[in-house]
Order: sequence, then C-alpha cells, then structure tokens
Amino acid sequence: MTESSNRTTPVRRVSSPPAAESTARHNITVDINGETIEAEVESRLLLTDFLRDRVQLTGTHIGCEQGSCGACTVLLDGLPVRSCLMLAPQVDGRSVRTVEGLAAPDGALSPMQQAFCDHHGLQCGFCTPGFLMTLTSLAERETPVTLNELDHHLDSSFCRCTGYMNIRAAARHALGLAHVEGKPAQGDGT
Amino acid sequence: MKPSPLDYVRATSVDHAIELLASDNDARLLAGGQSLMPVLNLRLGAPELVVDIGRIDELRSLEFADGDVPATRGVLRIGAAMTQTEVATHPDVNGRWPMLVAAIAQIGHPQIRNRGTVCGSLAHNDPQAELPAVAVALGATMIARSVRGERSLSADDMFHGAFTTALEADEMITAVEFPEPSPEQGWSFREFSRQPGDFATAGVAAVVRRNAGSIESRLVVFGLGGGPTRATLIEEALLNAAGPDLESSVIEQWAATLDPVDDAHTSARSKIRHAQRLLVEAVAEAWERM
Ligand SMILES: Cc1cc2nc3c(=O)[nH]c(=O)nc-3n(C[C@H](O)[C@H](O)[C@H](O)COP(=O)(O)OP(=O)(O)OC[C@H]3O[C@@H](n4cnc5c(N)ncnc54)[C@H](O)[C@@H]3O)c2cc1C
Ligand code: FES
Ligand code: FES
Repeated sequence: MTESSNRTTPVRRVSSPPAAESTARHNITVDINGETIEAEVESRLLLTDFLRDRVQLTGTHIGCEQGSCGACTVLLDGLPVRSCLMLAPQVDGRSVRTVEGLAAPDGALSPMQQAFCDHHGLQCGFCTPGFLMTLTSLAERETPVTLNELDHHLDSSFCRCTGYMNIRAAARHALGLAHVEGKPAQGDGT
Repeated sequence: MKPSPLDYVRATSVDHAIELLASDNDARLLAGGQSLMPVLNLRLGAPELVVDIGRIDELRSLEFADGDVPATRGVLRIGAAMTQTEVATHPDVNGRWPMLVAAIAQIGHPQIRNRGTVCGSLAHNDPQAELPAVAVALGATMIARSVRGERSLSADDMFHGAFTTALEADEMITAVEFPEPSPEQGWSFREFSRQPGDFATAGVAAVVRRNAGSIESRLVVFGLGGGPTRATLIEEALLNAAGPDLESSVIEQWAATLDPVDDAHTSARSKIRHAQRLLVEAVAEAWERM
C-alpha cells in the first residue's frame, strides 16, 4: 500500500493513547524526515498534533489552527502546506518534512537556517519553523525565484517580532537574490 | 480547537465516494480541506463521517478537449482532486485560460493553493471566493454525480446564495469544464482585499465580446454577501455602447440594487464604492483586451 514499505531503512513505531472514542482508528506509515514512522491514529487527529505529540517533533508550532498564521507549515511531498488543515490519516504513504529535518545529521544548519542566523531573521522563534519550511521549498525548487514571488511567500506567515525585514534579508541571501533591486511588494489593494 | 470525534474514510473511487454519501446523511466530502478543516477545527460543523476524495485517481486529471471543427473552442476539464496550484501552473492553462490563472493567484497563500481544489471552491461557494465568479463569467459547467446518476450544471444555475449551490446533499462534483475563451474576447479580473492573501472585500470578473454589431458581456460581481451576481443593468447598457465609458447614472442605478451588509472591517457603503470602482476598471480593461 505504501511506497515506504519497500525501503530498507528501519521502521519506528510510535505509540498512541488507548482508544477513548468509538470512531475508527487507522494504521498509517509515513516518511518523516527520511525515517519511516508507523502509528495507529484516530480519525480526527490533526497532522500537527500527530507530529508534536506522537512523533515528538515539537518544532512544528500551532498558532491559529485555521490556516492563517503559517506556524504549522510543513512540506508534504516537497510542497509547503498547513499541517493544522490536514488529518493525520491523510498522510498515509506520503512524505512529510519538518524543521527538524533541515539540519544535517551532524547538526550543521541548512543554508536557509544559517542565513536566518547570519541576518538575525528571528527573535522569539515561534514563527521560524513555518518560514523556514516555506522558504526551503523555494530554495530547493528548480525554476528560479523572483523577488516578487519571495515577497508573496513572506506574506503567508505571521511574525510578531521581527518586522519581517531581517527574514527577508536572510531569504534574499539564501535564494541568491541579495543583489536584485526591489522594494518589498506592497499590497496595492487590488 | 480540534475537530469533534468523526470517522474518516479515504474513498478509492467516485463510486465508493457517492455510495458513502448516499448511505450516511451526515457525511461530508473532504477535498483540499482548506475550507472544511477550519470549519471542523472551530467546530462550526461536526459531521459523523468525512470522505476523503483527494486521492481518487480518476479525479486527478486535467484534460484539454479540442473543439471538433477548428472554429469551435477547446474545453479544459478539471478533475475534482486537482489543486489550485496544479491548475494554475499548467503551461496550457496559463496561455489559454488567463482569467482562471489570474483569479487563482488571488486565493489565499501558496500553501493554501497547494491543497485547495478548484472544484472544492465551487462546491463551497464562499461569497468572497474568486472561482465561483470566474465560473459564471467564463460560462463553466459542473459535472455532478450521485448514486442516482450524473448531470451537468451550468454556472448560471449552480450558485445560489452564500454557501449554497444547486448540488444535492448526496451529489459530488467530479469535474468542472471551462470553455476556451475566444480570441476576440476581452477579460478582466479585479479584486480589493485588505491585505494580500485575504478573501476579497469586493471583486469583479468581466468578459466582453463583439457579436453581430453589439457587445455581449458577462460582468460578475462577488464578495458582497450573496453568491456571484451578474451586473445585468450594466451588461444591457454595454450592448450598443461604442466604448467602455459608462454613464454615471447607469452605475448609480446598478449600485442601488446592491445590498451588502456592514461587517467588522468594511461598511456596506464602502463595499458598494469598491464594487463600483472595480466594475468600471474591469470593463475598461476587458474592452481594451477585446
Ligand atoms: C488562510 C486561508 C485563506 C484562504 N483564502 C481564500 C481566498 O482568498 N479565496 C478563496 O476563494 N478561498 C480562500 N480560501 C479557501 C480555499 O480556497 C479552499 O481551498 C476552497 O474554498 C475549498 O476547496 P477545498 O478543496 O479546500 O475544499 P474542502 O475544504 O475540502 O471542502 C469545502 C466544502 O466543499 C465540499 N466539497 C469539496 N469538494 C467537493 C466536490 N468535489 N463535490 C462536492 N462537494 C465538495 C466539502 O464537503 C466542504 O463542504 C482560504 C483558505 C484558508 C485556510
Ligand atoms: S496553526 Fe496552522 S496556520 Fe496557524
Ligand atoms: S520571531 Fe517571534 S513571531 Fe517571528
């Protein structure tokens, strides 16, 4: 059923609390940051809560649970999505990348993470995992990214601390847009 | 918050999905989840069964049918599991259905469009959503299936008031068909939203074309509360017009028929002003492209 069942990597089974409700539970197999994870999940479990509470990857944050704030953004088969707007059973057989999957196994930061350090792209850090995942998808894309496109992606997460300019500076450096002229795109109201 | 207890089934085929819809009257389809999941998380809805149609192979298609004679236009058929991103980034869609691409660019954020489907947006019919208005402007047709059979719904018949459509509770949209705009047709898509990524406060999808000496148009206004609504008074005024400039008395007469309500951010009066401005701009732009 799942592609990951053919892999040679070890499978890790994560535990679930005993059933507290009569609704169906699902056995899922998910590739998370390159590791094959098996679990039994309730139908209504959000992907965010699965990652945080069952797989113990608490880097994916929860802000609004309605798709607006971006703190919960993860990569699903390489594309950024809101993990608060997915049920855990939906990711059976798919691959999910979280902020924990960005650094190398020896702890070396990814180029985007390093750029956030170098340019002071975070303060409290609450929004950072979401920004990093969205911007990593741009960095890993084959087609070149324009400054305008970068700004539209920066619009998609809330940061209450930095005022965005240092996040933008970090992303411009990591995306090779540091020398491209351009003011931040302003909502022109249309 | 978190969803209330529910059952989840991943449908493996359209037949499977419509059987589940028919057998359980508290079942809801889950496509991209970008409208349904906030509803579940906020507990504005608590269906017993959620039927996931997002991975049904037969719905994961984007087809281009050519017209049978060179003069007839092509048709773009979008399966119900195709995301907004997949549709908007397809090179042929970009070249031949520019209004669809322009409208999708205004929907939420990239992360929302990576999951949200075109058909889900049409089925949901949020009064502030772009795609129902585009479907009316371009004369799209929805294909609906239930255990009782299949039928086609024209966009003119599909959208009723806010969040209501002609779909029956046991029906699902399997695909939407957009006829290819003719080359001599001009179009414009304009909206005002408070910040990028927000739903539209007001918007206009406009199509104009010359036909046998008169001007045929479809001017669709959205965001004002009800479903997408054609500005028929303006369409009539354009019929014999020599240019895109509209008389202010006609615009005022049309504006008087609008009936939005105040909300937390925008007064009804200012919604009407936005709609008026957007309509005038859209007619001018569409005319120029004709
Ligand atoms: C932060 C945020 C911002 C957004 N901004 C915008 C915006 O600016 N403009 C906009 O238009 N939308 C916006 N959306 C909503 C988004 O476009 C949704 O993707 C879309 O409205 C619904 O598509 P979906 O595939 O996600 O449907 P779902 O959420 O899965 O379903 C929505 C409803 O339609 C029904 N349904 C789904 N598919 C079918 C089908 N094939 N047949 C019958 N019924 C079906 C479901 O049962 C449900 O009731 C936003 C969403 C978020 C979270
Ligand atoms: S928690 Fe998912 S977008 Fe805010
Ligand atoms: S660094 Fe604190 S919210 Fe962004």
